[in-house]
Amino acid sequence: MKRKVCLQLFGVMRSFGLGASMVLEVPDGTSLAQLRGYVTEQVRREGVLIEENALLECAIANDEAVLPEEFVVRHDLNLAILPPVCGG
Amino acid sequence: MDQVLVEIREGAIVRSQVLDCCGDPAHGAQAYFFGAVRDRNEGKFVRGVEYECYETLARKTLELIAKEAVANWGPIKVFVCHAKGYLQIGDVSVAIAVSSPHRAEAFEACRYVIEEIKKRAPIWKQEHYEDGKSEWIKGHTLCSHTRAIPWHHFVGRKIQPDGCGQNHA
Repeated sequence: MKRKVCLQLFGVMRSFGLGASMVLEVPDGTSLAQLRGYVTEQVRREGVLIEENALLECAIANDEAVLPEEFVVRHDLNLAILPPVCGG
Repeated sequence: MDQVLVEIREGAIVRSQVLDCCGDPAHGAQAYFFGAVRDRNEGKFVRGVEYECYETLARKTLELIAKEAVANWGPIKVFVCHAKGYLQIGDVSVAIAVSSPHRAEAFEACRYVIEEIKKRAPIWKQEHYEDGKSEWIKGHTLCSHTRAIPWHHFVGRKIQPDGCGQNHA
């Protein structure tokens, strides 16, 4: 079964020509590590060269909190990819 | 005001508007921190900075940090304000006000709040330089699992016909 994941993009993620968000269809039970892999593939399809583990430093969050690495996709979700932060 | 007050504002923060955001008849100390946009960074001349934030989570994170300060330093009041959008040189991007019965707690709590904001708040800045280029600033990862990976790995490069990447940031 596929789950629809809408991902908001921020910071440097918006410079890849993907706009402010992207939508992925991923298998039920997808882990955050796998989700990063799908995002990497999507970015590459846009013609941007990034390394396999480039998104390891990006957290994945919802409106409430940064998700723990044990999180798995079980529903359609609205999430966000958060590159390293630098507020202040 | 409540013990904790948090705001995210479009554009530069006005210093004078922050000065009355914190205080209590029982508090003999007020400490303030203002962060402003610098005109240079790592040898490059900056003409402005665009602040972007994941506003829903940023607001919650700022509130959580302020509440941690209250929990750590007792009966204090904390006001935190962060700007979003384009700011020019000298504009205030972040303001923190802490009032407390005595000065030590006010200074310490104020320092705690700004240090935690830099590490934890989902906020990003893109510097725009005098030479027309721009760059997203490197920061702190929010991941708990990360290995040390140089951030330049993450800079987008358009794939060239010969397969070689070319920086375009």
